Amino acid sequence: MSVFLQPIYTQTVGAGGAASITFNNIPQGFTDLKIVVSGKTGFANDSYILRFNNDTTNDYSWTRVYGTGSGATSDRTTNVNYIIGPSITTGANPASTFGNAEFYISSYAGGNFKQVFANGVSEANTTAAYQMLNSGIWNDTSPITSLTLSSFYSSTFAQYSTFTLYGLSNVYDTRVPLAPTLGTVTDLAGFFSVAFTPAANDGADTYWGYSPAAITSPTYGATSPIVVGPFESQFNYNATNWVAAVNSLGVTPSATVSSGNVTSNNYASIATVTNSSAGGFNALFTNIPQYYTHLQIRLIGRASSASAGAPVYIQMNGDTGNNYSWHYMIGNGSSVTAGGLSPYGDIEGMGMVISGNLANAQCVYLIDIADYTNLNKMKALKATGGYDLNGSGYVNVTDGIYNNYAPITTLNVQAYAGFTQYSHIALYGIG
Amino acid sequence: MPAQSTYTPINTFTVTGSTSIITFASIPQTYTDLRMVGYIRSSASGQSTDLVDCYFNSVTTGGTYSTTMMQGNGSAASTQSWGNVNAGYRWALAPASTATANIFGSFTADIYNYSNTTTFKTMSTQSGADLNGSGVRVNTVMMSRSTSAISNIQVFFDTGALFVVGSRITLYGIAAA
Repeated sequence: MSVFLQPIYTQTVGAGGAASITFNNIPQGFTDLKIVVSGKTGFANDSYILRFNNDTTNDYSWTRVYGTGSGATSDRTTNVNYIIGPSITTGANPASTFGNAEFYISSYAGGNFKQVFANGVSEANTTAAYQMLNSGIWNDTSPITSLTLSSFYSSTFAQYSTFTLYGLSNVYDTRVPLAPTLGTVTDLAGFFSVAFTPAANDGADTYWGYSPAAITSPTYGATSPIVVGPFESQFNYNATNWVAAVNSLGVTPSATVSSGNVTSNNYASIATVTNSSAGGFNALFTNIPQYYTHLQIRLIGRASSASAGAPVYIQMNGDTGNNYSWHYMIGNGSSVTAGGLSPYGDIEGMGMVISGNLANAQCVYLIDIADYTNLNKMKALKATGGYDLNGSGYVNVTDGIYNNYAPITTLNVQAYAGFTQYSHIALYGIG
Repeated sequence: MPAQSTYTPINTFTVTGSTSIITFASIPQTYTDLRMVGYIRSSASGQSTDLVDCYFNSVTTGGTYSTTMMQGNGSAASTQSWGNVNAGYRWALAPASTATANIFGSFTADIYNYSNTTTFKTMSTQSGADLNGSGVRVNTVMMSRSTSAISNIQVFFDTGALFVVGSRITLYGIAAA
C-alpha cells in the first residue's frame, strides 16, 4: 500500500488551449504514478488518450465500461496506438464545467508491460453524462520517462484545464532523510546542473533540486546531477538552497553550495564536431538536452566534394524522408537569385566552399532553430552566412521547415563527401 | 553532453569624444569565435549613410582582403564583390550626417575560428539602417587571406569620418565545448 504521494509537476493550460500535455523527464524513484486531471475540450463526448515515451505505434490495447445515465456499455480495442481514457466533458459542454479524471500507472519504472487503470466523470447538468472506468496496457518493457495526454477527437484542452502528475512510494520510511553533499554547479544557459553525493544510508526516496526564491516547482531526480531552473539571465546561484533529500516523513534541510559563484548567461556550448587530422566527416549531434529555448549552430568549413553548389544539408531526428522544405536567397557579386525545394529529404540551400576553390578559404554559417522542444510547432530553421573567394563570393540567407512536431533530439549537419579537415561545427543552447 | 557557459563580453568601446578608429587590442586567444555587436553613426558630411571597414592585426597593405555583399534598399536587391583590397571592406553601414538626428545603425559581425593558424579568416555580417522612408539592409561575407591568429581589430568608416558620440561596439568571445 502506498504511503507517500508526492506531486511531481502541475501544468495548467493557458489562453488559446493546448493540443496535448506532456510530462518529460519523469523521475524513476517512485513505485507508481498517478495523474489527476480537471479538463475540458471543445468537442462533445470527447475522451482522453494516453501515450508513453512518444510511442505512436500499435503497442496499446484497452477496455472500458461506461454508464450514460440510462444504460451501461463495455467495449475493447487491441493493437492501437493509444490507451483510451475517461470521458472529458459531454453534451453542450457548458462553460465552466470541467470533467474529473484520474489515471493510475503501476510499476512504471519496471521491466514488465505497463498497466493503467483510470476513471472519470463528465457530469454537465445535461441529459447525457458519462461515468467511465478504463483499463489499458502498453506492451512495452521500457521504463516510462514521459507521457502525453491528448484528445481522442484531436480537439484542444481548454484554458484552465489542470494536469498534475504524482509519484507514489510503497516504502514505509522511519526517519527524515539526511541531506546530500553538493558538488559542482555548472551553468547551462538559464539552468544549472547541480552535482551531489547522497549521504550514506540517507533514507531518502528521491532528491529534488530547487531554489525557493527563483522557481516555484521543484525538479526531481534520483541521480546526480540534477538540472534545475529556469532562471533569469545573470541569476547568481550563491547563498541559495539547492538540493534536498525527501521521503514520506519529510524533507532534509536543503544543502547549500559552499563556495564559488556561477552566473547564468543563457548561452551555452553543447557540443562541437571537428577534426584537425582528417576530412570526410559529418556532424551528428545526439541526445540534445531539452531544457534550452532555442538552438544555434556556428559552422565554418568546406565540403570535400568537387561539385559546384554543394551545400550544407541538415536532417533532424534521423528523419531522411521527404519531410522538409526550404528556400534561399543569394548574392554572388553579380546577381541576386532565390529558389527552394519542397518536399525534400533535408534542408539545403547553404552553399559551401568546395574542393578546387581557393585554398584555405572557408564558408561560415550561423544557423538558428527556434523553440526546438515545442510539441505544437513544426521546426523552423534560418541560416545566414556564405563565403568570399576574393573577387567572387556567395552571401546567403536560407530558411527551412521540418514538417514534424516532435522535439529535436538529434541533428545531422552534413556536407557533400563530408567536411574537410579543420571544419568546425559547434552546437549551442540559448536559454 | 556536458554544456558549458559561453558568450563572454571581452570589451566595449563607447564613443565619448573624437574617434575615427575603434580598436580592440590584445584579444584573448581562448575562445572559438568572436562576435562584434555595433550601434553606430558616422559624421560623414553630405551623405545619408557611410560604410564600415576594418583591419585585422593592423594589416593595411598587400590587398589581402575581399568582400561579397548582398543588400536591399526598399526597392531592389543587389550584390557586389570587391577583391584584393587593403581593408576588410564595406561589410556594414551606418547613418551619416544628412540622416535624421539620433538614428544609429546596428550590425553583428561573426569572425569564426579566429585563433587558428591554418586557414584564412572569414567574417559574416548582418547590418541595417532604416531612415524612416529610406534605408538599407546588408549581409556580407568578408575574407582575410591570412592564416595568422587575430589579436587586433580596428573598425573605421569608409570615408574616414568620426564616429558620432554614443556609438558603441562590443566584442564578445564565444567558446565551443
